[in-house]
Amino acid sequence: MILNASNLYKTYTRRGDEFNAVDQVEFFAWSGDFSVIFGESGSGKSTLLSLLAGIHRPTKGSIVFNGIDFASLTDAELSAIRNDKIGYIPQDAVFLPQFTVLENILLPRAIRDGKKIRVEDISELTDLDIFSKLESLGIAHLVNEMPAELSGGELKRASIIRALVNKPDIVIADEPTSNLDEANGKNVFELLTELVQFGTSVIVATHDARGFKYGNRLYTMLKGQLLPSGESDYGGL
Amino acid sequence: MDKTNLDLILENYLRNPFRSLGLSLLIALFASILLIGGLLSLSLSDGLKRLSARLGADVIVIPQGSEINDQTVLLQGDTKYKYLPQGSLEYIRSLSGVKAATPQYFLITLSASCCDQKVSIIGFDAKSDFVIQPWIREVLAGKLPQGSIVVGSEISTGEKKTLRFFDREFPVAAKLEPVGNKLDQAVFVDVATLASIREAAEAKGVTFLDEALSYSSILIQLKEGADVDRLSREIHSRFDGVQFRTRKDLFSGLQNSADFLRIVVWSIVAFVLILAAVAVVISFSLSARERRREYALLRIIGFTRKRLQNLVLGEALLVSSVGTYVGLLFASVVFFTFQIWIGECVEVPFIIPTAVEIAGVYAAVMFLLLSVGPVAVYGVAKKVSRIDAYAALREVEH
Repeated sequence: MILNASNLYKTYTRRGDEFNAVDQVEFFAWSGDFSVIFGESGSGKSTLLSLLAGIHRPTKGSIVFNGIDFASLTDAELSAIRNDKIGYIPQDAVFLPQFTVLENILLPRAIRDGKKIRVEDISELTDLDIFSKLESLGIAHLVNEMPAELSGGELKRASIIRALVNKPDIVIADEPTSNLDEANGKNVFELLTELVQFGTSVIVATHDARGFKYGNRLYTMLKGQLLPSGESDYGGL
Repeated sequence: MDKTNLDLILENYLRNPFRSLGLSLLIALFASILLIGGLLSLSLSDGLKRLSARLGADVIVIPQGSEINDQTVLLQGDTKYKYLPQGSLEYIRSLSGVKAATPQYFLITLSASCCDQKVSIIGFDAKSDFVIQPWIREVLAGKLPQGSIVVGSEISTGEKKTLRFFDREFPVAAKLEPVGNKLDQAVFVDVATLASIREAAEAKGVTFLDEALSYSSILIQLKEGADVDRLSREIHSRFDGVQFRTRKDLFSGLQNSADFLRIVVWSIVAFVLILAAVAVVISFSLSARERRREYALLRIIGFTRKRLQNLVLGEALLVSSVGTYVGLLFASVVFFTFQIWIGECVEVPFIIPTAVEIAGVYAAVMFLLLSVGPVAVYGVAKKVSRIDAYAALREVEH
């Protein structure tokens, strides 16, 4: 098992009242799983994903990743896992505006290796297989543009590639197909499915009904609680 | 610091050039003021120290009416042609508490081949002098050759190394180190040479109030534990028309002026420092707010809190560094180009510090200024490092 969340709570206070954005969640994912979490806005999907990605600490409960309890890790250790082992795709794409799209995509690798962000010579990057992924999402021709030149959908796809650049063990995507048209949404699901084939575990929170087709573990989030919706041995295959 | 952070720091600096350069220019202004202030303060301090050392006497006795209030006697070499009464030197030497006493003589010429302005000629008694000759020994080995003169640092002697007084040439044996006041424009001669200059003047029709060479001042070295007040009373009870001034009296006015100048300089420095720090804090706070999503992204993709903090501190250091180097360059050009004019403006002894002292001021200014940015934004950097990445993204999204 690659990820196991147990008795998970995330409690907030709103106007003096406490409420559980994540309420007693039990979740696990194996290598090669494609988990899809459906749910209304405000149901707690994004909060759950942020906990699973190690961005947020839970109020209560434990998250064990590859046998390591997040709670036992220092900030540096958890940051290293977020950088190298977890690919997180936020709901809204965020980019550093002073760097090109390609430099933004390669940012997690630069951080991991302590190398320059500036890409002086693109030919040096031929060892990376990101170009095929960029091709598959239709943005390979945009890599040398600045982020401000790209549409919201193009940035979204670029942020998906960025999450994959360090070949993470697990990809956690928050609404990866929002802002995308039918064809591009399909391409994203197919790319994620391809990752699953190579053993990566994928967790997606979405409104997109196509998730039913691609996921092998389906959940519904309702008022902070995670409810199993169904299971398929073969996911989207 | 790794290359990723360096890249981010450099690019963030260039990304908003108006903000970055504006802040750097403010730091540069502060660097300029601090460097000039530091050098000025040191120059004043050195000037006073050198002058105090040069005085060599504990007490000076001068004629009443000499402009002692402005420290012009000795310090500026201008006695307004007043002289001490006959017999005063012998009497002073006879007093208990006096270790040594030596006379000095002042002449003021209206012109000389050296200068366009008046030149003070200060005569000393080579046998008893303990003030002028130690200065001369700093620059001239052996005794002053008969008929030769020694000049202050600002007197030009030309290729012939002579000065002409009343159509008579006098060889210049040495030039003194600067002291930062009008002594730098004075000529020092022994009594015999002074008499020769007087003779030349008289031959040109210049008349003197007194026929014999009279003392313009008597400088006194005291024995240890001497009672200065009693000495003053004894001299005043014997002679009318004399002033008795201790070293402290002579330097108090200058010291006050120098202290006042220092207070003004350091007040300006403190004001600009506060201004620079506030501007840096406000600017970085606004920038940090604008860039919350970027910081959140960096956290999500692997930045530690410490690394995020270092990123902000690094940006502040870059702003400080650019400002410091620009400011030091500008201030160096201004100070060393206009040092003579500055020295004249401040009207107190002003000596350019030694190379080691100057290097010390540069090091201190660089240390202070390179730290002002990071220290000022430390709170902002700490706050950025504690960013809730998830919340930061959601705040903007919804």
